[in-house]
Amino acid sequence: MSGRQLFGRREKSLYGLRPLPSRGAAASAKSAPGGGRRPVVALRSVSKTYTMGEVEVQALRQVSLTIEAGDFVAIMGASGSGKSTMMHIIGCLDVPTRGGYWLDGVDVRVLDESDLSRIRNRKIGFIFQNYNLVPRTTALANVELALAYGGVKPKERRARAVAALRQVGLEDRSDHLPSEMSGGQQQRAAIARALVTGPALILADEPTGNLDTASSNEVMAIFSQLNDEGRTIVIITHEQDIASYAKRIVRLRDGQIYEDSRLVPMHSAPARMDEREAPQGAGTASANLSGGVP
Amino acid sequence: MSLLDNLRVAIGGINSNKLRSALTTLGVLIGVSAVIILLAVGTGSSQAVESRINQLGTNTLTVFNTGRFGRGVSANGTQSQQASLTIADVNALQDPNNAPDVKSVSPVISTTETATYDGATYSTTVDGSTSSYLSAEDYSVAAGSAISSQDVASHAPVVDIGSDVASNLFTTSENPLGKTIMIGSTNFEIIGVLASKGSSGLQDQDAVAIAPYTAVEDHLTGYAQSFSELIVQGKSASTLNLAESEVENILAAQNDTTVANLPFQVLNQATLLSTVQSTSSTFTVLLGAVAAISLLVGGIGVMNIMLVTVTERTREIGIRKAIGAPKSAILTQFLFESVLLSLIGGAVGVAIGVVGSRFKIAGVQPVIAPYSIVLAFGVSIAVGVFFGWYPANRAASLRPIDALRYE
Repeated sequence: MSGRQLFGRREKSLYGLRPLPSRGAAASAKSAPGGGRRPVVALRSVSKTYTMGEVEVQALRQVSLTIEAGDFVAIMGASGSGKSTMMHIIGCLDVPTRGGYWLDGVDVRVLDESDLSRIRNRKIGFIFQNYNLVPRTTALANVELALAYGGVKPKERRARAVAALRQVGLEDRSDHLPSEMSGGQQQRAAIARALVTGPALILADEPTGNLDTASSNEVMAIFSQLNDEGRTIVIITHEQDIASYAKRIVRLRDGQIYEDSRLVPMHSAPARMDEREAPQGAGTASANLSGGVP
Repeated sequence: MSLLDNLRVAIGGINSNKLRSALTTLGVLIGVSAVIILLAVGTGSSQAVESRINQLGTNTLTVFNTGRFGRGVSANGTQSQQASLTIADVNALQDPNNAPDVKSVSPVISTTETATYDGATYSTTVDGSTSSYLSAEDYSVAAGSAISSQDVASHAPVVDIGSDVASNLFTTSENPLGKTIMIGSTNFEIIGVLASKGSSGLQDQDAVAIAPYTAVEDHLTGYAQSFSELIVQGKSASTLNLAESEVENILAAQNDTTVANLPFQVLNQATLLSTVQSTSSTFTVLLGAVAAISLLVGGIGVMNIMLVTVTERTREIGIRKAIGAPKSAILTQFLFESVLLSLIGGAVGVAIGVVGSRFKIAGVQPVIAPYSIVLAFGVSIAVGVFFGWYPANRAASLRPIDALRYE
């Protein structure tokens, strides 16, 4: 689903956000790199420097990375390698100190704060290690929240949120509060919230870090399924096992990419689709998962 | 995110810590109800004082002989004789040419005597005056008749008694009318009983007996050539100040002196009223200020709690921002929460203020000033906005990565 379709479909936001610069304008002004096929993520010589008191920390050094639509990328690295910083920049939670970043063809450097929050809402679906569901708010309301901030009308919101929960096999938990759900269920609700807006990119930061093996496998199976449906997914992880679900692994060390390997060709099924489906037959992910977790 | 969504989120936030929300609300509640009740007390007491002054009579000037108050000698010390308010003064004041704004002049000789009837005794003020005195002093006759000019001319020993005199000398089954009571050592016939006026705050206006001044002179005080005071009734409230200057000029001419050296004091009821009104409005403002301070303190409480709430929910703010909440949405959410807190406090405070004002407080029956309800309620909302703005803005300005990292 392209960004242009997304914007066309959305109502004007209540908060009077200015429309994002059109892709054409952005492309002509800052000629987005990549040529031909438009990349979802295009980092060009990105550096990020933090100042901690007197000390300057170089979290990223001249990193360039292109992620095409439909790819499933795992970004790996030890703690301190800069992978969290990279995730924050890709997720528009932070801006590069130097270098350029185009997200789905939009030059992020020219955007102000309200544009950034809008772009986070429309183009990125976040999934965090500790689920980060809004407390005291049901799974359904959490999923709806992403749409609410996008200015979607309540009726449409409800329908799309229910559909998203169904997609992750959580429709029977939609009225539960985060505190009433298991870790796996919470993470699936978070995935539903991330995908409900139809983002250009799903960005997961250690999505299985707090989960047991069974729940981890379920969550990764959902990612595989979503990727198979054409969604672009970036996972940040330090677990080789989790990374092996991806089609491509990017390894970071000391703020630089030192390895970028493709496991599976771009347009084939994700790496472990077959493995996941093997014991359970040919059902869809949602059908398989709906009864999976107590 | 519609306003309704924001409202729902704000209510959720308030519900998440009910005790704390209730205590915060209590601060505003106390402030608002204090404003309403204290302003009602102020209004009530000023109304009470005003009505007491109005009981003194309608549109009246009181002329005192200041000699009786120890200021008898004029400033230049040449006055050889104590000035007195005489019947000649009374007649001069009643001249419609010199005093066109004077309606009536009632000379008063006042004395305190013991009244006796059938073994019962009661100490009462006896006012000797003329027929115009009752209407000037706003007395009305409940039963019988008032003293007439004929009674005055004939020195008739007749008397109108106040309700306290009647109730102290007579049993409820007895009709005082036509009875003869002994005042001092003289028998007076009761020809009328006055309706109760209550206390003026200075004296009990129902412990009074009103007789023709001629009879009082004859039997009680002796012929003193001087009245205690003159009650001058003006034609209307608006011309009372004109009447006052007319009275002063006439009295000055009568006593061969100037208005400045007049040995009498003219007390203008309107002046008295405006003095009392300005005093009581100062009183009301002071009470209001005390209450406003408590409302301010309540507002600071709201701000305090909102700051705590924002800190507690830093992570939640980070989540909301990460999934695309714009700054304005976060600002609105927390502003709604603080306004809702103070709004609830304001609404309950108004209710308590209205109920509380129904009871007598420190001897004053509070009278709710409608503006105070609007004011207190409006201020409570303003407090919510004002004191909620800073915490809400702080929440909205948090950087999402910092907020998400917050533990």
